[in-house]
Amino acid sequence: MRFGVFWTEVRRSPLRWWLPVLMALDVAMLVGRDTAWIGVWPQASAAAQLPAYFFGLVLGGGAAWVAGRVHRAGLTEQLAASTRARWRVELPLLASTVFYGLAAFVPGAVLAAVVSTPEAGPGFLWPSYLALGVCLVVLSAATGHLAGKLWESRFVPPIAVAVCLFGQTMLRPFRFYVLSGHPQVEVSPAALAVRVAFVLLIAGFALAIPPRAAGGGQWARRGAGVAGAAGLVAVAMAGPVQVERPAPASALCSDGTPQVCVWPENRKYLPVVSAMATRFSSLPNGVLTVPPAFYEKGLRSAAHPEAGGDFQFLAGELSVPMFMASTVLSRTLPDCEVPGGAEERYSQQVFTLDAYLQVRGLGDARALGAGGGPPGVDLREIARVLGLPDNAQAEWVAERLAAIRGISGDCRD
Amino acid sequence: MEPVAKLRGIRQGYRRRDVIVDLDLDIRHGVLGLLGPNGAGKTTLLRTLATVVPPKRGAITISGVPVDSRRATMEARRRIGYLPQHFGYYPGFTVYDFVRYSAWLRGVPAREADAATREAIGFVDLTDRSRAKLKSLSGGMIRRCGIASAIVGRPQLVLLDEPTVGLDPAQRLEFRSLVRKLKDDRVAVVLSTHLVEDVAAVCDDVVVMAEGRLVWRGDPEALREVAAPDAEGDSPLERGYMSVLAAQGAVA
Amino acid sequence: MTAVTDCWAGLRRYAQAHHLAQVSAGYAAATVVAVIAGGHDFVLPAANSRGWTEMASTVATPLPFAMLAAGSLHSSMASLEQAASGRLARAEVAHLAAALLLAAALLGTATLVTGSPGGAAEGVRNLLIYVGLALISGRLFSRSLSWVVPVGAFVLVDFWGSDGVRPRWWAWQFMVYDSLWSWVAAGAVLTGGVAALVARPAGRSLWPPGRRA
Repeated sequence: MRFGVFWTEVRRSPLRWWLPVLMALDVAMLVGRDTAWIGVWPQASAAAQLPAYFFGLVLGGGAAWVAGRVHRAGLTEQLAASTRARWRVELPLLASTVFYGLAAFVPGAVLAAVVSTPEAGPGFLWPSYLALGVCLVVLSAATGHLAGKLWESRFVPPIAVAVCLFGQTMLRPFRFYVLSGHPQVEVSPAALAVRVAFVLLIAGFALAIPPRAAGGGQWARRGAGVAGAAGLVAVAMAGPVQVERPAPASALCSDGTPQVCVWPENRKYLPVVSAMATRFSSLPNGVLTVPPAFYEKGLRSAAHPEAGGDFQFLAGELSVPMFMASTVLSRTLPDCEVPGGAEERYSQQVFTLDAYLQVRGLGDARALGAGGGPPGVDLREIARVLGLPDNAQAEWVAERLAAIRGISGDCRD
Repeated sequence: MEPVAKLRGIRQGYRRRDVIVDLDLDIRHGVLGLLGPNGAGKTTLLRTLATVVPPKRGAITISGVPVDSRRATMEARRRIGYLPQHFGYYPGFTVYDFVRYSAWLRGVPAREADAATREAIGFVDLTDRSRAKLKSLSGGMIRRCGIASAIVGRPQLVLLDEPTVGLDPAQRLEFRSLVRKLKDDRVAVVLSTHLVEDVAAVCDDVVVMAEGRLVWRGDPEALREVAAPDAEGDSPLERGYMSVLAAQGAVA
Repeated sequence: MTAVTDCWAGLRRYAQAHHLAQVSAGYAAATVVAVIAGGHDFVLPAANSRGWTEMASTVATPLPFAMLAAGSLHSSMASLEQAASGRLARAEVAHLAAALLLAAALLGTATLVTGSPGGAAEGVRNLLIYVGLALISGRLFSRSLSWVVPVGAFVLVDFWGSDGVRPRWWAWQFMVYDSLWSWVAAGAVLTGGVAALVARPAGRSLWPPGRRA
C-alpha cells in the first residue's frame, strides 16, 4: 500500500517531464567533457558524481514544486487532520523526487563503469564518490522540499536551492562534491559520514517540519534552523572532503630503463609514460642525465629530495612530459645560479630546451598545452629539430646546454 | 439590436486538441446561462470571450468592434469584466484596494476610479467592510469582492465562471439578486455554471455546451419543455438539461 | 484624495500585488552576496581538460538579480491580470526598466566595492543577458519559472563555455568587458526578452499549454 502511494507520487510528479532532460544532462556532462577519467576508477567515480551538482538545481526546484503543490492545492488542512504522522504522509512525496534524482544519476554511473572497464583493469567505481553524489541528490531534493513547504511561492524555493548549491563553490568547507578523483586522494570517511548525517537531518526536517501555511510550528522551525546551523558547523569541522591516501604497498612499475612507476589505479598510463621515458633516454652521447626511475607523485615520501619533481596526471598524460622534462633538466643542469642581468637570456635558453624535451617526450606539440609553450620559444625551430635524426638532435641539445652553461658558469656537469 | 458580443466560427484549443469547435454565438443584454458537463468547453469559451486566449480560428466582435489586433484587444478589455472560477488575490489588500486595483487593470480613468470602486463595492453590499483585509473575509464575501472587481467601471459584458461554487444557500440567494441588479443595469452577463437552479433563477437565455459545441439554445422555459418523460433530474429544468445532453450522447 | 496621493496609493497597490517588499529583500541579499563575492573567482566543474573552470564571480552574481527582476512581474492577481487593459502592459515595461536599473546600480556598485570597474561592467552586461533569458523563460514556462532558462544557461556556459584558456564564441558571460561582441549579444538577448514580454497578449505561456503567466 505504501509503495502504491509512492508509485502514485512518482507517476504524478512534474519531474517525470524533466527526467529525460536530467538523464541527458548527466550523460552529456560525462561524455561531453575531457575523457581522461575513462579507465581510472577513482577518476571515473568522481566524474560520475559531478553531474549531480548541476541537476541538483532542477531536482531542488522540482521538489519545491511538489511540496508546494500540496499547499497551493489547498490540502494543508486535510494533511493537518490526517491520522498519519506528517512525515509518513510526506515521505512518498520526497521519495519520488529522490527516485527521479537517482534515476538520472544511475545511468551516468553505469556508463562510467562500462566505458572504464576495458582500460582500467581490476577494481570498480569507488563507492565513496558515488555516495557523495547520492548525498548531493538527496540534499538537493530535501532542501527543495523544505523550501517548498516554507514558501508557497513557486519562485523562492529554487532560489534557495541555487543559493545552497552555488554557495558551496564559495565556501569550500561546505562542499558536497569533488572536481576530480586522483588516486593520490580519497574521500575522507569522517567528512563523508558527517555529510551523510547532515543530509539525513535535512531530509528529516523536510519531512517533519509543518509547513508555514498550516500555521503554528514556529518553535519546530526555529529548532530546525538551530540544528541545521549546528550541522553545517559539524560539516565544516569534519575537514576537507578529500584527504591524501597512503602510498600503495607495491607501485605498478615498468620493466624498461628508465623505469616508470605509477599508482595501480593509473595502470592505463603505464605504457604511454614508459614510452615517454624511453624517448628521453634515447638521445645518444649521454647529453642528458636521465634518472633511473620516474615516479608518480605520492609513491615516494614527500621528504625524498627528488619527490618534488614526481609527475602527475593533471589532464591525462599530457601533463607528464612537463614534469619529466623538468626532472631531466634539473639532473642535467644541477645547482645553476644565474648571474644578475642574464636572467632573460638564461630563461630563453632553458625554456627552449624545456619545450623541446616536452614535445619529444610526448611525441607531439600538445605537450605545450593550448597556450603553445613558454614565451619567447620558437616552436618552428623545435619542430625542425624534432624532424632531425637523433644524433643531430643530441648535437642541438648539447649546443643549448653549452649556451646555458656559458651564461651560468657555475652549473655543474 | 446589435449584440454586445458576437462569435463566429470560433475554434479554440491547445495544440492539436480542439476544446471548442466551430462555435457561433451572439450575446445580448440580459443574463446568458452557460450549462454543460465538465470538459464541455465553458471555461475556455469564457477565456476566449475575455480575450485572454486568442482563438485558433474565427472572429470575435465586442460592441461592434472586431477584436483582431492587439490594440483592439486592449480596447475590448475595457468593456469586459471577467471573474475566473479561481481568482488569485493579495491577502493583505483591503476590499477597496482589491476592487480599485481591478479598476486600474480594467483601464478605468483615474478621475473616475474612486467613485467606480465605491459604486462596485456598494453594489455587492460590502461598503461597511471596504477597509477590511481580504484575508479576514469569508469565502462568500471574497466571491462578492470578485464580482465587484468584475463589474467595476460598468463594463458592457460581464463574464462569471462558476461564481456560486462554494457559496452557502443564503450567499447564493444574495448572488442571484446581484445578478438581477446587473440585468436591470442593462449589462450583458454570461454565467457559466453547473447549477440549473441558478439558471432558472436569473437567466433569460440558456446555452448548453457539450464536447466543445453549442448543442442547444433557448430560454429556461423552453429547456423545461424539452425534458423527456424518463429523464433523470429533480426539477423540470434539470430534466430538460439532462435530456439535451442525452440527445447528444453526452451522458450515459 | 489628491492626484499625488492617489498615484502613490496606486503604486502601493501594484507593489503589494507584485510582492515588491520581498523582492527588495531579495535584492538586498543579492547585493550582500555580490559584495562578498566581488573580489573572488569561483571554481566550478567544467568540461575542459582540467575538469574545472575558474570564473569571475560576476558570471554568477547577476543571476539572482535577474531572476528577481523578471520574477517580480508575477503577481498575486495574475488570474485577474490576464484580462487587463493595455495599462498593465505599460506598467510592466516600466516595472521591468526600474527593476533592471536598480539591479544594475546595486550589482555595479557592489562589484566595485570589492572588485574592479571592469568587473562591474561585466556584471552589468551579464545581468542584461540573464534578464533577457529570464523574460524568455517567463514566457515559455510561466513567470514564476523565470529562473529556469537563466540557470540552464549558466550551467551550459560554466560547463562547456571555455576550452580551458579561451571562452567559446557563445559564452558571452566569460568575455572581458571590452568585448564589443558580448555587449551586442547581451543587447540582443535583452531585446528578445523584452519582445517576449510585450509581443503577445499577456496570459498564455507557450508551454505547458494554457498555463497562466
